[in-house]
Amino acid sequence: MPFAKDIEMNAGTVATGREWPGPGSAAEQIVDPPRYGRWVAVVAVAIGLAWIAYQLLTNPGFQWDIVFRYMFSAPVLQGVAMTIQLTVLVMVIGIVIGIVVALMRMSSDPLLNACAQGFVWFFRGTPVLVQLVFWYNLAALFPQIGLGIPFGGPKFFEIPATVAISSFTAAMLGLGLNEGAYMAEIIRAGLLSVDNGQTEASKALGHKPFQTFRVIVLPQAMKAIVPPSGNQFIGMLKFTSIASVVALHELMHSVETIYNRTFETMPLLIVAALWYLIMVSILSVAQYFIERHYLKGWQPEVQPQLQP
Amino acid sequence: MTAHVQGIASMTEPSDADPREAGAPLVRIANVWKKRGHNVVLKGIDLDVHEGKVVCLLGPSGAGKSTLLRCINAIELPDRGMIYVDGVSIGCRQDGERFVRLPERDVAAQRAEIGMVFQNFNLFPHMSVLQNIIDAPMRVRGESRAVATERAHDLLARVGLKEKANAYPRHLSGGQQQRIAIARALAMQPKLMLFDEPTSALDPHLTDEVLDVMKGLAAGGMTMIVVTHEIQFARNVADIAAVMADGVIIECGAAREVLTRPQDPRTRRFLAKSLQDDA
Repeated sequence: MPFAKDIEMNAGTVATGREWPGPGSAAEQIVDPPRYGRWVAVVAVAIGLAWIAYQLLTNPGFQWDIVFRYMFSAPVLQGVAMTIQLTVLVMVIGIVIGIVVALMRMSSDPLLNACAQGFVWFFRGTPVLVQLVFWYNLAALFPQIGLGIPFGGPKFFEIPATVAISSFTAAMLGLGLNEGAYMAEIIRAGLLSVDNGQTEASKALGHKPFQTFRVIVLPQAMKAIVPPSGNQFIGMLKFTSIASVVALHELMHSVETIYNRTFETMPLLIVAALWYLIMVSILSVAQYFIERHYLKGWQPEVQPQLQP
Repeated sequence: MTAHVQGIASMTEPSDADPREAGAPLVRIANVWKKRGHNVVLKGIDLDVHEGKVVCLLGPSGAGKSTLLRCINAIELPDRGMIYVDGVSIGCRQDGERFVRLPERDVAAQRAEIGMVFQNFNLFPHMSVLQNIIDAPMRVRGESRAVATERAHDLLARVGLKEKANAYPRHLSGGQQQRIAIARALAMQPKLMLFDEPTSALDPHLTDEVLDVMKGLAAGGMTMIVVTHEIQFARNVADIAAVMADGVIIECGAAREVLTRPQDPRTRRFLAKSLQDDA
């Protein structure tokens, strides 16, 4: 038996002083089979890309000069700034509401639980468009907004609703509350994915409930929360364009205003698309690093490289 | 169903050398009842554990051993009866004749005094071994990082894993993880250690490295309550063996006595079956 020694080796400890087999080694070589289909696919993809590049360069309909003229024009840049501002605020509101509602839904208190379920039911169940317009027209229901004792009691302070609710606050409230309902479910799913033993071990060490949540459960839940939240963030970036219905000058609305005047529809849509692509790309990179942070401890151990 | 047998630790090894023997028990479990749904899992358990003693809870699965253990640090709460550790009623405060449940924040302070080791280790996978050990001493006890880290390194040396401080739990074997879990519990300098089937999730050849650490702890005078199926360990290390069946302690006494000359026929059957499985 020529291999008897090697079989014995495998069962026992790792042999010392053995080199990785060189080209002349007796150990059989293993190679991949040729993949002809892959070469066909490479050619097909190359032709497709070439056609797209040809069109982009030669089709006069794209009107690149107009694209570049508007790309960094003041109204477009203001629109970009507004889109970023609204997205960030909406997501912050959404995440904060999401955490609170998710914790309420997971608590054993029946009242908190019912309130959380009611919140998610309502804000997930009505169209965002309706919610936006509702907030924008809040003055029709409540001409005065203030703080005081309800049912006719004294008021501490009061302001007219038309002053309190601008198109920005309407967009922020409408999108933020709606996002909170979705984030609550994402966060709840993440919290449920953490093994109950982790909570028990944390409790057994004497951690208080909030410490258990913040130090043990949430960091592990983030592994499941970050990818769908990235989705939500990117979705929201584009979804803010719905705020144009309450006359908010975000990116899409700014671009619309321009092409309604100049009729250069195609190049201005390209301007908007390029800006959205740039912002989404930045977010995707951020998401990659956040995911990597929360995967700490979960990656396979780095194996020493055997092959040169 | 059966008359409960009172577990009296002091009837074992009446040594005059230990002055604490005469004093109050460190753990007093007094007439503890627990229901889960319609199923009564603990039916009036009484057990005293004196300081420095090792108690093994044995018995078939579903007997209520783990539930009893989890009641001792209020991971679960009994429905009736009371558990005292070092004279403190666990999970409750006394209000005249009755007991009122404490808020979680106050229970946390009680739990900090009691170490627990789980069947599935339950190390925190997002923290390195060192972080796992120093987190609670720093966060709960308010120790400085330097003090906590120094003790962590001592404990790691004690469980034979000095070089694993910066590893992540996922990259360790089950036996190593369980030894880290023991070190993590010890880092809080508990009065009492609870072990919930610490070797049940381990390969036979990894079981011994964990049992060795536990033997060392017992020899060092740590009070331990161990739920286990390791009859051999119970016989060699435990002072007291309490055998449970159907939510009742059916037999309790000096470990060597109970495990070599069991009185109750159910204990005999259980032991015969366990030893058969081991062989």
